[in-house]
Amino acid sequence: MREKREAPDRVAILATSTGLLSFLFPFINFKKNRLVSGIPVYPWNAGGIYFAIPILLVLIASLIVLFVTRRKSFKTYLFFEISGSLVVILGLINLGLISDNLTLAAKALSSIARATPTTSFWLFMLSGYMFISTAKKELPKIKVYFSLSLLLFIILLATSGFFKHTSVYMEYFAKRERFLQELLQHFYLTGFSIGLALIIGLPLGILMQRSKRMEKPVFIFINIVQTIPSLALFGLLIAPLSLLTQSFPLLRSLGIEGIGSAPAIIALTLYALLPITSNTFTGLKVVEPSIIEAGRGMGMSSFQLFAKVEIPLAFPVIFNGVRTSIVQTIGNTAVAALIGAGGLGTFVFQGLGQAVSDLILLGALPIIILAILTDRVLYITNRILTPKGIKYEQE
Amino acid sequence: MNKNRMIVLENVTKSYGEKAALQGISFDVENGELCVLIGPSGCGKSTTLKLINRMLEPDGGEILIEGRSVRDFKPELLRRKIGYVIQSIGLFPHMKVSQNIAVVPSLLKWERKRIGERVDYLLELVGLDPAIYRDKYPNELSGGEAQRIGVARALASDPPLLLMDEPFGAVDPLNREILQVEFLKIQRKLKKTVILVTHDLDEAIKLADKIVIMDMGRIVQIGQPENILSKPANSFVRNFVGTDRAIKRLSRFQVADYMNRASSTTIRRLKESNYKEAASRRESRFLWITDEMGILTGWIDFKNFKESDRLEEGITHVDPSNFAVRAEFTLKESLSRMLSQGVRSLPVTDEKNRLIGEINLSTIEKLTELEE
Repeated sequence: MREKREAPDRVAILATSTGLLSFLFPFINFKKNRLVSGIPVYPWNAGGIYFAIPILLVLIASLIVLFVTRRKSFKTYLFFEISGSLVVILGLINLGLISDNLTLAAKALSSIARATPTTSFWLFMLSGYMFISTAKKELPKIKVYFSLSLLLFIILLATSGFFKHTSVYMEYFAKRERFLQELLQHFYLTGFSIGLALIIGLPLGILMQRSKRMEKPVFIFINIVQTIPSLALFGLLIAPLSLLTQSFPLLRSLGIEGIGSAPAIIALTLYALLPITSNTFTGLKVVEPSIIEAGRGMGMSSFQLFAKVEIPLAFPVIFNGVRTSIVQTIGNTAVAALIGAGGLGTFVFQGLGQAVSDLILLGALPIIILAILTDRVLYITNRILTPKGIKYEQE
Repeated sequence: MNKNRMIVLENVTKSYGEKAALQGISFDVENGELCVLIGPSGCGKSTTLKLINRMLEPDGGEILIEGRSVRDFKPELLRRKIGYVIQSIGLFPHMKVSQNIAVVPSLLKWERKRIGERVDYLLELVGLDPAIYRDKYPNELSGGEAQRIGVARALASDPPLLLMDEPFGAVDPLNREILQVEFLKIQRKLKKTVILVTHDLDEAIKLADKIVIMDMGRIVQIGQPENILSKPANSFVRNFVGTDRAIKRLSRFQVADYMNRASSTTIRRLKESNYKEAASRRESRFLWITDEMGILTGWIDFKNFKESDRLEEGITHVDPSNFAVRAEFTLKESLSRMLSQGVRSLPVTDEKNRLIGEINLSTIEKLTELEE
């Protein structure tokens, strides 16, 4: 009897077609210096053929697997996981290799010639990411080891100077002291804001759950904050803060000014509040009333009930809110550069101002990587810290 | 004041806003007594229960436990001395079974070793193997198992008083019966004072030493189950207990208390003797037949057995474990067996199927005659 055929995995279809599509676009934009428009280089140009063909083969194999498989199994997803990793690894190697070749050939012309990764490269990375994320659903355990080793490999490549002729690396190299400084500033802004948001947000969420009267006003406030465009909020804070520091010079000596870190931290804290507060509220609220009644009936004081029952049960939801908040703040902090607070956003806005895409990437890439990495690490941390026995589906 | 009275409620009132929930409730529960509060929903039975451990506070009246007002205790400290079981059980999902049972002992700051021993003792008491269940989480338990853990948890600090709010309500009917029987066994062993709320009359009749029937915030009748079924105080109670109250009442009586001596003979002696001798041994229509060990094997019905018949033809052979009743069965079960077998008399056997007596329909009939 013929088994009914399962529909192929849709994300994998998208990943395969994205990967195949990327062969139509230039892989690298090769420029004599950072300002002139460059010449397009395709994945198979300049010695890239040795890696472009394996990528193509992987993608064709995925295509075949997609349309031949009758029943998706563990093996199918393991295949996608491997395909995704291969596309990412081969794409990265190809990037390093082609940019080396191009630069060496152009050395005679100019020592500041550079290779900027472009459409095709990003599409490869996207394709690989999609493969890996669809495989994640079916391979929860293996996934962690795969992702970690892939990550380790990329870090190894990057630190070994493999990408030294790509534009982003050259920008980094030229500004490496400044980069480190802005990276630390980025951490500082994000960390400070999250710290404040936790100090304010957790009690606020608890308060909302305890007192019906507080529930509505707090929710309205944090929701309104969330709807203000971040740029506007940063701008809005300049005037009142400078007024404040003019009337109280003491504040200025503490480093509080209309522009700089102070307004940035205030704005970032306000944005970070919503996920923390609302998840604290929801997490506590969904604890079953019968559990509370049982605890009370056994003679637990309200504090004991809160600390030993409500908080542990709400923990995964609260932690998830903190995770969302941190990831979101890492991104939001980029905007802080606009009001002179520094951070990786500095490079983004410099790049925008000078129309230098390489500089934008120097700011944007670390932010993206940081956000993804933090998200994954906190996700796994939550899994580990969540008390056993709580069935809780994350994401 | 009677020293035996564990709980006394005196003219207790409670209202929720405008709505009066309890309009002067008075009753008492003796030490070791299982008292069931029953009535239609909204009658105030759960409210009454929650006033005793101060989950709710009364508007008026007095509640005494062992002669002391509940108001003399801090609510948390009071509750640690009273076992509490609720319908939804409310096990803590993030704690292992052992930790769930240990909640109150931990609050009372017992030593670890003592808690561990107590947990194992209680698990065995409720019929769960400690080695298997100690480290399970509530989401790995069936409904019946969770209910047992709920009872074990309520008994954890060995409180003299147990409050149970529809404790078997969330369990399926088959398991409910098993759990009720097991709970009765535990109760006979521990002799706790229990106040149990239910809306299930069969459960009340099966478990209660005393039933308190409530309606619209008032007590309608207090009494032993037998008395409530035989002498309903008014039309409300009569309707509440239903038209089959005569049969329901039978579940209060055990075969052991109403069985008669059975006339019997062994199969060997029967074969050696003749009709006349066999007939002379009988005291009723039936003569039970056993083997040498006393195990029931069949009977002779002398109504259809003539002197001229061959002995073998007169014997009806039976499987005693299916046919006979046990001394601990209720008369309700006996009656239903008689009706389904179409007989007026049933042998009573012990756990080894040895004949120990018989129970007759006429005895049961006498008990069902109700005083209207």
